[in-house]
Amino acid sequence: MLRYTAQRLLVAFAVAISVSVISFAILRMSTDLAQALAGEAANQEQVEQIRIAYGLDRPLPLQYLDWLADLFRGDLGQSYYFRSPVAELIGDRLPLTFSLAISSLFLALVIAVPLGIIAALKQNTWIDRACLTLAVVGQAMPSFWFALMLIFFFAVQLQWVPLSGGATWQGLILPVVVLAYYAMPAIMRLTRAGMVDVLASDYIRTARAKGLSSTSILLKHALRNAVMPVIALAAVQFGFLLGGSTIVETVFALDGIGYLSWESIQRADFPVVQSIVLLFSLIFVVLTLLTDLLNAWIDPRVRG
Amino acid sequence: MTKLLDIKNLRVEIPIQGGAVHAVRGVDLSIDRGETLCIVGESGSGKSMSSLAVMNLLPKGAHRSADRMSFLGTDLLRLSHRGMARIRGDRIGMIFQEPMTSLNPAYTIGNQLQEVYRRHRRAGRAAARDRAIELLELVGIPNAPLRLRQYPHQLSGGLRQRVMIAMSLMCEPDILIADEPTSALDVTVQVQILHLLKDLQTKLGIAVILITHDLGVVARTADRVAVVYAGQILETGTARQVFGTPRHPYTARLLDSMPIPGMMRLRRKLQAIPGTVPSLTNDFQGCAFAARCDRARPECRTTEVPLVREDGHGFACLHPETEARFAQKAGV
Repeated sequence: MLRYTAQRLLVAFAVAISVSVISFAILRMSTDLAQALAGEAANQEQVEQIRIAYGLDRPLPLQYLDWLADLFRGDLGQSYYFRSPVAELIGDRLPLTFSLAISSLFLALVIAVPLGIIAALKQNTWIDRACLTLAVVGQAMPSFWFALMLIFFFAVQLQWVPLSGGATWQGLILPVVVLAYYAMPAIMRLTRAGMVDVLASDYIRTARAKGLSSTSILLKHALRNAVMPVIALAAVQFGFLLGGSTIVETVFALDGIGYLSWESIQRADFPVVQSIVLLFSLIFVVLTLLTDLLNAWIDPRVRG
Repeated sequence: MTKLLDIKNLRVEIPIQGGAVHAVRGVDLSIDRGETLCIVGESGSGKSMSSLAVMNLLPKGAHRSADRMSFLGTDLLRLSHRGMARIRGDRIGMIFQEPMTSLNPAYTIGNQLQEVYRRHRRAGRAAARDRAIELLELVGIPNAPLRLRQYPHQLSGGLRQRVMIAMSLMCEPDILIADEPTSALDVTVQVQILHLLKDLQTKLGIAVILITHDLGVVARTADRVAVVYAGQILETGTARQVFGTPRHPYTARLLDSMPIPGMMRLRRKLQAIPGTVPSLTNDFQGCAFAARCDRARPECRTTEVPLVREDGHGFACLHPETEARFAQKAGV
């Protein structure tokens, strides 16, 4: 397990470095930074001055190392639009997006995994089909429409929750429901498929031949083997929920990372966009690492 | 004395699109303490289905019925799921053909061995661990404490089958059902496992139901033999009766198709049985083997053939083999 962990860490580190190189390159290729910093009105001479002042005339590898050093100091640069440090901008918004992602993933798992198990046990019955229908609807329905429907019923008509904004926890209920319903179908169907597979396996027959209780067969012997791909999927979805909640944040007027990235892309606020890309790439790297380790812990064969 | 296991007229049906597969059609089986019963047959003859039916481990949808299925006087047909689970793994152990996939990859050998003991004996961890070590040593696995901590993928197929045997014997069952336990193993390992089973049987006095398609295995291990074909028993008796003087032509053809060490020098040709096993989806008339039998007469295809017994040697044939004919043919 120790060797495997070290191996995975090394791979994760290599990926993180590549991600940083790509992220750095994207910014440098997208625009002439000196020109951008100097502004539209600056003449050639002023631009060159700025280029030298900011070290943009130096070789690219050196600039990369500088940038990397800044990164480690938590300096992600200045936003063109807000004229404030990017780290601050992201730091202010990250908690909201993070709690949205965590709560919705948790809600999705709590509903989808048991439903997947039930669907597998009641394979090809009306219960199975009802679960499938629920999943298909969730996959087919655009989240902005679902969000608007929820707002209409629960915020406007029933007035159970505030209309928008993330100031109170009540304001997060609807966005969490929307995001959870978005994440749920895939988790449920993968759980079902895994359980159907595992339940037909030889070692489940052995467990039954041993006279074990149904609970033990299901939860100890079947679920542990069926849940591995679900963990990998949940990790990917967590990444998506962190970065991909743009639409939901916009509909509910939540000032999170998704909303910030969407605004920044529109404003060509490159330092912000670049930092968000880098941040989420690194989050994916970390999630993948955690998934690998979790799967190795569950399945001894992975440890090798 | 009551039989350990007594089954009358066992039938298994598996519903399929537009009908049903009659996998087992009226099988009678019984076994006494300490006895080895071999059920022999080709693939798809219903031999595995019969044993799975006893354990109530049939695949989903399959349906079993019988006039009687009693284990030590308990009617297995009327037993609840819970009641059956109490017998499985405790009073009746079972091992399977696929040692590579029959152990759960996510748990250690020790965990899987101990769990069955703790379930049926309500034993503590320490007692279960001691028992597991004892059993691993009994099935000839050295360095048992280390093995307990290992996972199935760290063991060879032969070792895994030994672990399966140890697991099935944790609670000292009355019967061990071994469903083709050696088919997936190397020939050398096969012999070891068979020796082990035979050895354990004499040591522990358990009854063994050995299901196999390998006549060599039967000859070496069986007290009694049941030859199944198309879900029916065609011939049954002691190993000596069935192998020495087979009465059913199918048994005789099976023996003809078996290589006997040393016989090759005598230019004995291996005989294949022409034709194929009949489809089990429809109910057929008469003898199931008639279509492939060189002794078949018209009445074989039309009349129901009962199993007749002579001195405990039963065979379902209207025109049975005569002893002389076989003895001359096989050179036994």
